[in-house]
Amino acid sequence: MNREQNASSAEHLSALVLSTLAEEKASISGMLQCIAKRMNAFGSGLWEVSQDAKLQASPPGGFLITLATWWNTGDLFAMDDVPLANSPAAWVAVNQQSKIVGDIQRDGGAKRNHPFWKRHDVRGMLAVPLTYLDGSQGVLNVYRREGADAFTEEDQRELELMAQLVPGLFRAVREKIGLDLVSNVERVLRDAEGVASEAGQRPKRLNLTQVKKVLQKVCKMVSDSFDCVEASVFLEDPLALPGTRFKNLATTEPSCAKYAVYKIPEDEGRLTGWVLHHAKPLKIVDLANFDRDWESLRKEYPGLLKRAHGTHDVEVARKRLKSKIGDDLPPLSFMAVPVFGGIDWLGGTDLRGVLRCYMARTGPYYFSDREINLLGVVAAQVGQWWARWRTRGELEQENQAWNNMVEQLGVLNAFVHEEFQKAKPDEGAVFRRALRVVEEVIPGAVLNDIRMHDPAAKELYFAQFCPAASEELTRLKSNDADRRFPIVPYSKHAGVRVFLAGKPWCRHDARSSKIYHPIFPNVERMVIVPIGVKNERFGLLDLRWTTKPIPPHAVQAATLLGRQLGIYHQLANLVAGQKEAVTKAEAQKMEETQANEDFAHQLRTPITEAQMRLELALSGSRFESERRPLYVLRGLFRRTERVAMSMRLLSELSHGRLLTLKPQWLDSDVLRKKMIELADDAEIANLEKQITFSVERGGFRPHVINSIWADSSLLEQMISNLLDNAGKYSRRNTVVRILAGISSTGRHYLAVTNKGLRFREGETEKCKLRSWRSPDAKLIASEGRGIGLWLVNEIMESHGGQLQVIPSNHDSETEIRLSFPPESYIAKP
Amino acid sequence: MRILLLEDLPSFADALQQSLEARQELRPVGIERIATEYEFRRRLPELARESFQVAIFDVMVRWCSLEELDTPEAQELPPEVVEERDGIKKWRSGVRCRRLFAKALQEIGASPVPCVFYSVLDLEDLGEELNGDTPLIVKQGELEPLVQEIARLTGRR
Repeated sequence: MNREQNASSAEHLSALVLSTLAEEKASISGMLQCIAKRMNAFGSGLWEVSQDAKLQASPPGGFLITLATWWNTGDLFAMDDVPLANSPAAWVAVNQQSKIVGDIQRDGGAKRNHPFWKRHDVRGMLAVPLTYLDGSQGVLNVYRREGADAFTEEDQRELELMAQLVPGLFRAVREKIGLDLVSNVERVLRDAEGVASEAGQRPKRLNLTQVKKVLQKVCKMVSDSFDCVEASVFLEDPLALPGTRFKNLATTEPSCAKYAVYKIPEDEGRLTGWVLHHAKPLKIVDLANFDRDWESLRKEYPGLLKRAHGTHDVEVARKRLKSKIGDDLPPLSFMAVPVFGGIDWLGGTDLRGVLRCYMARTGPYYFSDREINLLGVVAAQVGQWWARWRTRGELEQENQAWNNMVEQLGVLNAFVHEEFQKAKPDEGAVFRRALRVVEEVIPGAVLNDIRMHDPAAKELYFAQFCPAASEELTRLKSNDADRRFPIVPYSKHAGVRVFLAGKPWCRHDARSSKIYHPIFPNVERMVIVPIGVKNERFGLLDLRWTTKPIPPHAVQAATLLGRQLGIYHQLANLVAGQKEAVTKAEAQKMEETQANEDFAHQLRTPITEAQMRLELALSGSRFESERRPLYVLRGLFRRTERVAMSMRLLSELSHGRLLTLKPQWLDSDVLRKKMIELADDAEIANLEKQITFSVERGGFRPHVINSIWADSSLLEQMISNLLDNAGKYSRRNTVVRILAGISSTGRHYLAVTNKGLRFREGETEKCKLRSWRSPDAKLIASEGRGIGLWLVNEIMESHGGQLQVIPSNHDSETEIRLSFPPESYIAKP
Repeated sequence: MRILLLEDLPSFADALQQSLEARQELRPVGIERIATEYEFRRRLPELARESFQVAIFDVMVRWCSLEELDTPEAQELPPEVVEERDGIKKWRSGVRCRRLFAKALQEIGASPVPCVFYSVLDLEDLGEELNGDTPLIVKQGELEPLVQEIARLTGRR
């Protein structure tokens, strides 16, 4: 080779490298085209010795496998599986020497009479050996047609020179294709996630149509990269049980739509079905030789069914590849890899579908391990993307469901609250409402009911059906609504077991159950959760699905509702018990207050009579020594009378009645006499403590208090109560004073002051409450129920006046003042 | 006859004195009246050493008088009194004092003193709280049932 030729060869080699690799779409065919043009050839082929070849044997065993071809007619002619024993190209591979064939149709080995040669009048062939980077042997061929120059030794050297670059270029092209595919798929998937992105907001989740479009792009990329007729992706059907049904979401070959669904395990015997069932990749080198290779395939892929792939597939392939009858077809290579979404919660693989390729249009025709690994990478990309999409969808759906749940529980709580306000709360109404909530928050659960526990019979019974379940039972003319389920251990009824164990139960194949199928034949799936609180169970919530799947949150949501219903049930019992107790207590109270009133009335007669007789005895007594015990007796009678009066007032107020007043003008003189009488009685009652009860006469004069408009008897009751308290809570040897006066605001008042137990801050209002007694008062007087001041306050309010407790001063003097309203000191007419 | 009486009504002590002295076999009568639980506790060692022929306990006696409440000791309430003051338990000072009295006698090796509860409360109210060996006389208009019980307990009838 002269210098000029060397320069030309170098230029061409450079062109070969650049055109092979620098093309936007690097391809082996492009490389062969470049070689063929340089060699002024009609076409070019690249071969690889099959891995099982025995080159040293005689005759050599094995085949030459077409990796790629290029013909300037654009025809597809792959010359598949040339036996190493009888072809010039095979000879080159076996002997590792180049060879020039003058007339391929005469010296073409097994293919010499191939119609393709004749049709295109192919004559000359030049074949040079080469060694691929993985160490396998191969051959590079170029062909010339009739009329072209025969290949020369110069051509041979030229081709040998280029052949040195081919293994490197071959690998580089494939690496580039692979890298391009992975990065392009990554870009498409990433872009898709952000496609609906708005500034500062999370991208909106794609809908299924958009997802299919993205997957279609991926399939197109896979198809382009492997230059295969079909690239398809089948992914899980969200409506089916995990791992049981896979649908075609995208494909480059629309005719594959007729196999759009794979059901597992039914379709295990099919190629794609096998991948889905076993979650392992599958590769068939040439479907046209499926029958020939069956024995080894059967061992490699147990469970695969033998079927006539050969003839049918070849015919279909010819049509798809537009190959003419008689032409060799390229190998009908098939590969499929499982699509995983990641690692599932049990640490196993999370199968989501399958990605498959079929029938390469150009070389390399075989889907080798490298291709299947590459497809696996793409499958992983798709799987993770799909899983993210699904997870986000499920999360959004679940979030929405829980939001809905919270809202519905609020509505349900309000309903229950209202129901419990009724005299007789209807638990059935609560159940009906709860079953509506179930339909709202647990999609697809359509035939639902509530079973409750009958503790007496130790059975579960249907307490409430949702309307759809009732209609279904009516339609089926079923008596199952009246069924009862004895609560016994090891029951065949799941409901009983759930009731005993307190744990939810789920069944996805109710149709195949002999127990459940006859009751609701259309029901596919069931969930049963207990209704109860903590360890106490009251019943069951039964949910049934006919077509749709059980949503991921269904069991948790149903469990929550079960607990809520448990609380309602417990509350209903408590409320019913409470209402009964309240009714009883009210009846009892009514009876007691009535009795108090009766006793008070009955007491008055003998007391009044006794008092009259006492007064007579007093008026008839001449000596103080005789009168004194009578005074004591009179004081005791008056006290008794006041107790009877207190009972009467208490019973009136307990009835919610207003006190009946018989007011009159009580002038200062009458008031003063009344006060002295009461003071005398109080003094006698407190002789032991030597307390003096004094009426400050100054206030009881017409120019101070002209008169007060009040019920005389009630006024006496009030003053008497105040004096009674003063006696109890005053120190020994002190003075209790009864005053009358006009306040700074011009009101008339009567007041009692004493020195003793102090009123502290905050107690001046509390003391007006019924049954309130100060802690110290309880210690120094065991009797008394905290009624006295409350009654005084009630009486004053019924007079339109006011009870004022003036906090004790530093001298421990307390003043309790009865302040009468302005109307009551209008000048006496 | 020496009688220990836990009772806050002074007139009752006078009436009882008169009723007992009306019976010759019971004379002479000396009544030691204690008006509050606090006083009873305070004087318990001294009371245990005295030779009473009978002790009468009103069940619902107040904790202390207003004057006693001024002392810091009276404000140190035993837990059971706090519970009664706060309305958690019913007021049963007499039952407590009866128990304390029996214990105090035992501690000093004195002979047991016959006791009787005298209360407006009846057996239905107090059944569970009474000692089995302590009779209950319900307060009524007349003192005769109590007088008879005292006579029985002291063997003077």
